[in-house]
Amino acid sequence: MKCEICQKNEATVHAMITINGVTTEKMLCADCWHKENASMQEKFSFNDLFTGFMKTPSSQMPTTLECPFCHMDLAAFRRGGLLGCEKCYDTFSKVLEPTFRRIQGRLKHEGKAPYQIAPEMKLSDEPKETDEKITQTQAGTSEIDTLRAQLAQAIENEEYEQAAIIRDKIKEAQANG
Amino acid sequence: MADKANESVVLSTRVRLARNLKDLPFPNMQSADQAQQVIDRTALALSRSDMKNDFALTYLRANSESENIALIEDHLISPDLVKASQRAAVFINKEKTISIMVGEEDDIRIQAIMNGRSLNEALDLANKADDSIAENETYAFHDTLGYLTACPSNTGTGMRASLMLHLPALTVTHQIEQIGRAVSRLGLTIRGFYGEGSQASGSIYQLSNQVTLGFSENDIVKMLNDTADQIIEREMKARYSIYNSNKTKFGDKLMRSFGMLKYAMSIDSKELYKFWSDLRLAISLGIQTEITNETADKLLSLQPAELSRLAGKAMTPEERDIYRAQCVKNILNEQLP
Repeated sequence: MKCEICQKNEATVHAMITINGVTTEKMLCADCWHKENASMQEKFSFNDLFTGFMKTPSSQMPTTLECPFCHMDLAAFRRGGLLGCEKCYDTFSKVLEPTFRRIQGRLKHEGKAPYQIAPEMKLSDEPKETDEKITQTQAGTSEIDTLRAQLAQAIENEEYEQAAIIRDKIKEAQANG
Repeated sequence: MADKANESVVLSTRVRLARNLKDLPFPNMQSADQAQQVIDRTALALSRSDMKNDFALTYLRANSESENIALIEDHLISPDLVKASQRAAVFINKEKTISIMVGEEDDIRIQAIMNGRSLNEALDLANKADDSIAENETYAFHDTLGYLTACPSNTGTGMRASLMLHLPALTVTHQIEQIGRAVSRLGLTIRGFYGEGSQASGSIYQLSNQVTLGFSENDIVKMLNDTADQIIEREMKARYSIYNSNKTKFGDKLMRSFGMLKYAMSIDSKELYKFWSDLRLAISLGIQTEITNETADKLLSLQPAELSRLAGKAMTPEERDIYRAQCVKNILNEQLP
């Protein structure tokens, strides 16, 4: 029998693992068994747990979505359990909220924030709904920054076609810059 | 007494913070160029901070496979970072207490590792490295959701704090299952190493927070510490209750494992965990007084890549087990009269 992880070596270890009192079994080769043990910290399988939750269909959940910034789509997100960029949090917000409720229990961050360390970093990264100034070119603001603000605004307004155009402009500006 | 119990049960402490840089996709959607940008921006941010002389940068692609596996065995990098080795890098401090992995599941994963039970100290250390980057870089951060991470199971603090616990008595008395159910209700999780048969390998477990959103870093650390207190107390009670029920029989079992460590000519890595576990237990019960916990824990470093490094050559599994037995003797003999 081949190892369940690498699928290459012969499985020699009948490995059992207990997580919160629930035991599962795997047949592994000595190398993978060793690697699994060495990697405890990051091998939480929360991803698997989370992906399981995501597979639960809900009538209210959208079935197709694509992030205008990184192009992660809902199917890939459900498969891998990973978001592609910070904007995905907006794109998939309808899917994420019930997920947070189930796996985290709470919806509001309590804890440290980067601007406690560097107050000047708390720039308006998300434009206020009524604040038009952010989309105007200001003294000292680069073209890319302006475009990024426009992109954020377009995403917020769910104008994804417009967002894609702006994204391409940013790419162009970056290539030229 | 509390210190003795802590030393007998808690092997090590880890705190990990997951961070991403603003305005770039997360690693799973990055181009090779963008992955390099993350490394450059992190290096630049650190070079402008007070910690500028603390870290050495290593590109994983510049390392041999065995050098990378040795870093995994030292818990300085994760196997997932090695999978991304063409694009990944790690910053490690001189004391090997902080590693900053770049290009894993998230752009930046800051990890502080300490021996024994030191959650508050490890959090301080991780925070210091985090602040050094935050002073000079902008993280993906959301006012409501906190630090934005690739996996929503890390969103919020991005923190996973953990204690590595040796729980042989709770394992054999099957109390560990009940404890598992109890801690999961507190937003914590307790996970065993992959072991053979029904027991976790070496009865080593990792107690960590599962929830990252809605609790501050300090709240989570306090919850872990409070829970660890209770688990340690129950483990020590169970150890003495087993030992006191038949001192000779139990002591004999433990010391036989010590005999194997001292005299066996070949020891595989599964046996090593078992003998180490019995030795640790014998030390905590005062049956074995010649060896300290520190020396015992050195035995756990005798993993395949470390053995190849010590031997200076690649070995077959059989050669490795024979060499491991020799290294075990060398470590024990340093302390034995």
